Amino acid sequence: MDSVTNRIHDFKSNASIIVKSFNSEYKKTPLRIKVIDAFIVYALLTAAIQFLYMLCVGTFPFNSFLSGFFCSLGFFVLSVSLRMQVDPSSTEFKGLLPERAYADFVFCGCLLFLVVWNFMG
Amino acid sequence: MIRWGITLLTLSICYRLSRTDEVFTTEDLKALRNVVLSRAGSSGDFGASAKDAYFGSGTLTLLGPMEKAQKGVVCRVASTQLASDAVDLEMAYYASQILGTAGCGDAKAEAQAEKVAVAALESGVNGIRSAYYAVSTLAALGRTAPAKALDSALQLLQKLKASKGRLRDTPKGAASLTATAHGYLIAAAAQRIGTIGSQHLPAVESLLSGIPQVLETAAGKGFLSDAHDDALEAITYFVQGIEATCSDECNLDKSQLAEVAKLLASARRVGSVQDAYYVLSGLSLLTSTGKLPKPVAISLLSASVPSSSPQVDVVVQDFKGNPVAVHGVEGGVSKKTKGNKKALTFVSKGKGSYQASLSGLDIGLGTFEVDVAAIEEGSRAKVASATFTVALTGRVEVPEATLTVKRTDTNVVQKKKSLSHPAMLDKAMDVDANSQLKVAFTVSFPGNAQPFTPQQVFISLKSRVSGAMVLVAAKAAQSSPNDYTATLGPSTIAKQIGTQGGLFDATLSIGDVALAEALVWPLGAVSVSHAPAGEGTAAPGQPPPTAAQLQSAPKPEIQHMFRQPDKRPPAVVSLAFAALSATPLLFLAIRLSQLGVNIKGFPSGTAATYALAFHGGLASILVLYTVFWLRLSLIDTFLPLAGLSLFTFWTGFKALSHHARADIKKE
Amino acid sequence: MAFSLRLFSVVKYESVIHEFDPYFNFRVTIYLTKQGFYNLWNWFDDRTWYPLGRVIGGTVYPGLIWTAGVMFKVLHAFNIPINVQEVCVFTAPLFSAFCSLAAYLLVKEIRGRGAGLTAAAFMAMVPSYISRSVAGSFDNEGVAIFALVFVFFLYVKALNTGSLAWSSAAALAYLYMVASWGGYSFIINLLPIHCLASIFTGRLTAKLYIAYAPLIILGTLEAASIPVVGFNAVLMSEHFGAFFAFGILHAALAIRYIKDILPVKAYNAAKTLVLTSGVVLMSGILLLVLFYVMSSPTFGWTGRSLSLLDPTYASKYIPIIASVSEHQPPAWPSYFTDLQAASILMPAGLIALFWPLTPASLFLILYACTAVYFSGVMVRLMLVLAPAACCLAGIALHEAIATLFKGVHAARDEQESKPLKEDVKAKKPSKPAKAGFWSILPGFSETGRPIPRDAAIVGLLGLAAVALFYTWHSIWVSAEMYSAPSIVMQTRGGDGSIHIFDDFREGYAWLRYNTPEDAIVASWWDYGYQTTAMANRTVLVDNNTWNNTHIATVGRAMASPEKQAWEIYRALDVTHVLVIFGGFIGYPSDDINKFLWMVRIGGGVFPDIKEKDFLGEGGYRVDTKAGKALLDCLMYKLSYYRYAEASLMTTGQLGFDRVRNVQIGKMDISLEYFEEVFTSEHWMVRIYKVLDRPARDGKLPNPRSSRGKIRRGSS
Repeated sequence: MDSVTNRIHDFKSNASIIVKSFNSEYKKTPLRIKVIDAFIVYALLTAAIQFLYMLCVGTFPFNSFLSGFFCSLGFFVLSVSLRMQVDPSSTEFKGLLPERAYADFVFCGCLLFLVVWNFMG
Repeated sequence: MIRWGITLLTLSICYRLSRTDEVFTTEDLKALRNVVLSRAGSSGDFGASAKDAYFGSGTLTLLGPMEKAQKGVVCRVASTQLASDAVDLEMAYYASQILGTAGCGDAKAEAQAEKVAVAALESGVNGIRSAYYAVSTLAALGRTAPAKALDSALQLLQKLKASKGRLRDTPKGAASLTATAHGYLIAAAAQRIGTIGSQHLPAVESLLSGIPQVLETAAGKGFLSDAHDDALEAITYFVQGIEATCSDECNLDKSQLAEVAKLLASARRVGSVQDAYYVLSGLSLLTSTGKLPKPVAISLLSASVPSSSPQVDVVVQDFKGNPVAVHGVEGGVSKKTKGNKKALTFVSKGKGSYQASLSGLDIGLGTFEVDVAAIEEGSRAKVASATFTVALTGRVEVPEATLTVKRTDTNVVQKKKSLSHPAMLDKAMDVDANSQLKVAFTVSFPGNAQPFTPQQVFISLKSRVSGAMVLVAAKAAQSSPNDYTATLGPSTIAKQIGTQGGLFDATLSIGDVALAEALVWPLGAVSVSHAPAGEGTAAPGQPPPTAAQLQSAPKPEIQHMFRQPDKRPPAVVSLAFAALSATPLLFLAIRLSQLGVNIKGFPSGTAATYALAFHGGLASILVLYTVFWLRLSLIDTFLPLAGLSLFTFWTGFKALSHHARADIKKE
Repeated sequence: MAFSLRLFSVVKYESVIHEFDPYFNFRVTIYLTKQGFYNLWNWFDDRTWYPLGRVIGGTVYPGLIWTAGVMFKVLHAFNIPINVQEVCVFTAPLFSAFCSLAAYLLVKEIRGRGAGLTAAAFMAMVPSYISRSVAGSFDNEGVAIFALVFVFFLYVKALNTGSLAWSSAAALAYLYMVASWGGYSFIINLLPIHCLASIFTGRLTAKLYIAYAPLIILGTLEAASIPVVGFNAVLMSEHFGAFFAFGILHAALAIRYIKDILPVKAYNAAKTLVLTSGVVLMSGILLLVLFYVMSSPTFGWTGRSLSLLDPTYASKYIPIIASVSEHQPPAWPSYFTDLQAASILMPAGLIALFWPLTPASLFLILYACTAVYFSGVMVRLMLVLAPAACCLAGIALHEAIATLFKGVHAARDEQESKPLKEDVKAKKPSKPAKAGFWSILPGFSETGRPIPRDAAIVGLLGLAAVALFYTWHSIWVSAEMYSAPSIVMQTRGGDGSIHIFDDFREGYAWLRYNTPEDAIVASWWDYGYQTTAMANRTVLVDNNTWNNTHIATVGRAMASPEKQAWEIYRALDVTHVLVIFGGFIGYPSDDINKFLWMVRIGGGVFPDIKEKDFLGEGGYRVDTKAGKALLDCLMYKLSYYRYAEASLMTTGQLGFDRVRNVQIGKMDISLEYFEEVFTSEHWMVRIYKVLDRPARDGKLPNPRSSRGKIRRGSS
């Protein structure tokens, strides 16, 4: 018993440490990234709700569900990509202007929405 | 309607059988001649082919003496062929046959043919056909061959003897029969052109003594009746062979020979000169010369025998159609289904014609099987036999018919009328839904003592309105089989043609193969009324649909069942979830406001217009998507989309480059 | 070059469409140009699969048809009057040229311009690809290979630049690929493999994510928009790999992100947390997926994919897939014929790619390896291998040439400075080919020991010879082997003269002009597309083999005795039966040789047909020792009807079959329920009419019928 409670305690303390340090570290990220993060979380939440709907109710208009779900996922993916590209701490995209990244993002977004709308039926 | 009934009756009578097509007629001979002449061509030289010329001239000779001009042409063909440098054995054979049959008298050509034949014999022939060609060439020219040369040909007979006359099985059966026949012909020809060495005599003798056996085998294996390729050739050579070798002791079965002749005769419609020759040569040998027993055929003159003079006439002919007198004809007659045979006595009525009377035999009307067989003079063997179907025909009479209308529920007779034969009802009889019409009558067959049931005894009702017809078979009573009754009512009519009412013409019809004339007696008019219309009857003024019409009427349209619609949740749930999925938007707004996002950074000056236009472009693209979703097709969308994207791309490029420059400047 | 090489067929024959499938594509294209884009989606074709019909829009890969349709429209917009057939004939060569460009771009992206050029040169001439893209071969593969290479190029480009624009371009190209060919599943499986390989070899970069993730999301949605794929894009097992890799990628990225952002201690704690929960989550999902997969009979795989993974699957369960020669494993020589020099240079290129191993080159390595495996399973997939082989060969050749030239130059330099040393170097034994091969190992050539000049020159000459030989071989192959449309045949006579057999078109033209508009033609499914396209008549079955039972019914009819076959055909309203017979001129792929497949396919559905009844002594034969059922069946009768006499005239032997080199077992064939109405000049196409009622007089004894009758001409 003791060990289990210990474990749980450990776990809890670990979790709290993680959350705390994560929060403190996250504060350092620039505002621009934070905005993008907000969008990412937004997309994830939407996807999660649709998934929940699928679990509770069913998939019947399957194309609608698919397009909605994939729309959220796609937006999430694109936002993550954008975030990685404009992240100043990253070294991979030195030569890339944030504006260029944003333009790409907009272009991809347009394409994604076109496909989604086409499939939605 | 009367015509219809008669057609029905005649149709059933029409299968008269007589087997006169077994023998040749003069027309057939003419046809053969025409085939040959047409193949001979305008110049008459058979395309300068010795083979065709041989067969052609052979056929013409058999059909009668050949014209002189024709002879000359044929001779020229043979001579030319022989004069050419490369003369092979086959060509020499055909040419020499022509020289022999046409009597050309071309010594040079004859010498050439002889040279080829002798050379072939001396170098050793390599097959029975070649041997036959060589020996037969010499025989046709009337030359002799040295005994040594003959040896190689006779050697082959030993081999034939080894097979003991047994024929090989199909499909080579015809060919093996040909080979055997060639053996006979070689043996016969060899006797003429030289002497058969003593070492070959046993072989020849055993070969010849096997002829009946071969004939039997050939008949047993069906070579004589089936249409094998080359069957004609084989059979004709065989006939030629036995004709050349057989004397009386051959002892051949005439009926088997008759089978042979039948096959030859049945192949009268030939297409080539060769076949014409084979058919004619075989038949001529079987009919004209004295050496072979002559097969005969027996045929029936008429398949329908009136019971007033019940005589069966048959004629015995050879296969060229000439009547042949025989010792006698015997036969028997039996009912078609039952085998109980009664003997018939045939009396000779002139050359080849025989007659038997059926009168004393105590048989009634109907169809019978008549077996006849011709008996040969001397041996008293059956030489030809056949089975015919003969109908003994008589008359039918119905002196009187009684028509009764009865109520179905109470059995009370409402109306009754008797008619004697040709008379008709003077006014229509009424039959309503609750009553039935009964027609009763007695049939009689004058001059017929036996019980006889006609095939068709029925009453027909034909509507005067629509022309539709109802048929009701009359039933014979158990006790007296000649008393018939037919019962019909509105329900019968409704079953057959629907609920058609009004006036109908009633007719009594009786027909059978054994009735020389059918009886068709129009009885007069019957007025039918049905029960008051229930559901589903046709509109007034139109005849109700008949059963046949109902059958061909369009079936109700099949409703196609698509996939079962999927279960959908109640609208409330969906709406609730729609609202729920909007909540992250709320989160986004809160979060963004937390972060302090604003549009203060929005550029000013020229950059502002570009930025505005850019965002406007984006917004319009999204609007376009919505419109696309709601009503446009993909292709319709593409064009404005292309324009908008170009615009947005350009403004976006401008706006962002301004922004980037500003950024760099700031740094 | 690539374009002109493929025009041999047009020069040698004429501008016709080859083979079977292209005829269907051709027909659909005509429909597209006449009826427009939207009607195509909704086109229900009642000319095929009588009485079922076929929904063309939902069952066809439309990419090729769009392409041809757009080309046609564009050309007409410029007022260039051109026939649809010409467009179709020249589509494939055009796209093979594009494909060469795509190969150039791909290899350039991986290895630089020089390698790209050599790869494109290989690509232009690789016989395997030529086989599918000669002029007239209007088939999906022609454009699909281009799309395949182009998708790979864009993917690699996105991988190198990390640009979303390239990634979405790759998604668009993928859309085109999906629309063109069922082989798109190769891409959707190769990309995850590459992704996973990158992750587990520590090459996880943000660029990989940008290249991969949007492509998967966009690509799946696009694929689902193509009707023929539809929901399969998310429901079939082939696509699960992509989602799996997608999930792993996110997990890996999340771990990396957390690792970056958290201090070490917290990271360790988080790692255990994420790992435990991650494992639990993943196993749950895996279980779900497994459950789904196991619950379907084919484990959620389509039959063709299964036969790829398990080569024996098709022959066991689906005879119809195994019956297509394209679906059988290739013979070894075919690798050499189809790839030639590329197959030799390929391993060299593979090794060269390991120095240096970038994500892009890793991708090409994986591509090559999987392609080699798949081509080993199905001949058809040799096509997928071809681009990989060409790229590798191009790289190998380029490296070899570069190294050798370095040797030449280096030797010249040395010659100027130290002429004495030359002797020592020249003594070094090295075979030219070996030198070329080994020298591409950078480690070998960069250690300061350049190849001696003589050897280098010899090596260069050797490589040039290889290249020349390859070119010569490709040209020969394309001219001789692959340009032959199976619809027009050509043989060389003993004196070198060329005979052209145009029986197919003769037969189809006869059908088109001599049968009623609503005639229904039964034939084996190979000829279905051609009959609908060229003769414009309704057929029972065609090359789109979606309904096995229907095909089995036709197979059963062909394998039944005449009367039963007639009943089957009457039940299906068939008016004409078409058989292909090669015995007269020795055309081996005729219906008699395909007959065993009919029996097998028919027997797969109708157990009363047993293959062993049709086998004679020692296997399948048509002579007198053939199986009894074979001698009685309809196919045999229709093929050899009246043949015995005809062969007497050509071969001098009664009923001698020139394909099987035997005398047929039954000479005297009479037909009671079918009437011969047409036989083409060389007897290849024979068409029979199905009679309303049996012809009674067909059986009358008719001795020597063949001599008496005038032979019916082949009008």
